Formats: sequence, structure tokens, C-alpha cells
Amino acid sequence: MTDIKHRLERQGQKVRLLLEGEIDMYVAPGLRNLLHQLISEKPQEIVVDLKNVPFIDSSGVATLVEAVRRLKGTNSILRVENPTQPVRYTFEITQLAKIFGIEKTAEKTASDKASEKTS
Amino acid sequence: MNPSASVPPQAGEITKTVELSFPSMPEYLGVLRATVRSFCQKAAFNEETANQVTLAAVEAATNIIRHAYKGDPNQRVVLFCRETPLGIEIEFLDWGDPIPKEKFSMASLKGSIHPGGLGVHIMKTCMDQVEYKLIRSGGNRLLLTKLREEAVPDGAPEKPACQEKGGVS
Repeated sequence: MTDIKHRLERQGQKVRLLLEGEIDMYVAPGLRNLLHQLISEKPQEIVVDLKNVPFIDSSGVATLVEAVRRLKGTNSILRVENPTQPVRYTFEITQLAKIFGIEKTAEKTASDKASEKTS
Repeated sequence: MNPSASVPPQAGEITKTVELSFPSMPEYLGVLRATVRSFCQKAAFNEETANQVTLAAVEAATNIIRHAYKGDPNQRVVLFCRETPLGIEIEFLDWGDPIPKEKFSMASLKGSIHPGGLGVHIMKTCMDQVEYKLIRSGGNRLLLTKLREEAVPDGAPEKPACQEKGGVS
């Protein structure tokens, strides 16, 4: 399993996970492992910071969704912060931005465009 | 002098091609990304469109590795990037299991999230046409097409619905 480059910042019951590099099927298993490890520590909040992630595909998104699902029914939450533009695009077209607490951009979003296409 | 040399390219005529053959290993997705992104830039697509095409290509390759080859790392995937007068074509060939038709028929995200289905949704959202064909002699052919803005017909919606095609060749 390939580890994903990352840094952890802990502040009380909060953990900030700063990821680095492109997230795809190659690094997704390592990310899953890392998130499981963090979840087992039962923090109040896990913030996944994506400012240094220029690319994410469905494998990466599915890994983050899995972590959110594992936290259901616990007192912990997972949020995503600082997505780069291509990463935000992937979250928006998969209509998953909301569950990670990513706010919509002011202009028409990729999610809006995707809805127009499928409607 | 070749008399055809002065004839301007016709719609659909291929102008430039790059071919890449890579192992069915997830660690080669980075090579695929770099190739497709660079090809889009050479074809003068803007950064946003290059990112969309790259994302669709990674989803296609991921599905081949995961579903057609079922994770077997000892197989090959062949990629063709073609610039045509109308836009860009990204073609994948593999010799794995056929992809069930229902996987390509999913048009929206309604229902639960399955990684394979999510990948098809992404491909259809990022590209203008997604065409899957079963090769009669064995294997799969997936053709992803992105049109230049000027190639989209007048009066078409801001971004037309992706066309889905399939069959046996």
C-alpha cells in the first residue's frame, strides 16, 4: 500500500490532515488507512485540508465518503477545506460538496451544469 | 507535390495522434494524467477543459484496471490521444472482461454511490460523447470525445448532454 504524503496538526479534540499530491486509485488505499486510524482516535472533528491537492478522482472521493459514513452515529465530524479548483470541480459534479461542508462558489457551479445536463 | 496537401482538413479528419501503452497498474495513472493533460494543452484547450478531459481519462483507466482486468497488474492498456478539427478524442483499448451495458447506461447520481458508477457519471459529465464498443475479436474500446466550443452547434445548450453510444465492432 502506498502512503499518501501528509502532515497532521492536532489542536485539542480537532485534527487537521493536510494532504499533498494527486489522489487517485493508487494512493486511495493509503488514505483510507490513514483516515481509519484517525477515526479510531475519536476526535471531535477531522478537517481534511486539500490546498496542496491538485487532482482527485472518484476513488479519492469515495474514500472520503466512506470516512463520513463511518463517522455517522458518532460525535465526530469530517470536513473538507481549501479544495483547489479541479478538486472542487470533482466534488461538485459528483454532487458531494455539501456532505463535506464545501460551500458553493458564487458563479454557476459545475454541479448546476451537471444537473442541467442530466435533466 | 501531393495534391491533397493543400486540402484543408475535413470534419472528423485526424490531425495529430499520441499513443501510449501502459501496464494495468494504478501507479501508472500519473503517467496517463501527464500525457493527457499535456496533449490537451498542445491542442490549445484551456486549463479547465484540460482538467475535465484528464479527469475523464483517469476514470476510464481506473474502470479498466478495476473492472475489465479485475486488478490484474500484468495486463496492458493502450491509449490514443487524437486532435481532430472538431476537438479531441481519447481512446482506450483493453483486452479484459466486457463491461456490463448497465454500467454505461447510468445517467445520473440517483441512488447510492458505487465507485464504478461514479466514474461513468464523471466521464459523461466531463466529455461531450462517451462511446463504448465490445471488440468482436476480444477486448473493449472506449472513445471519449471533447468538442471545441466553436464545434458545438449554434443554439445548443451551454453544455450539451453527453451522447452515449455502444455496440460491437
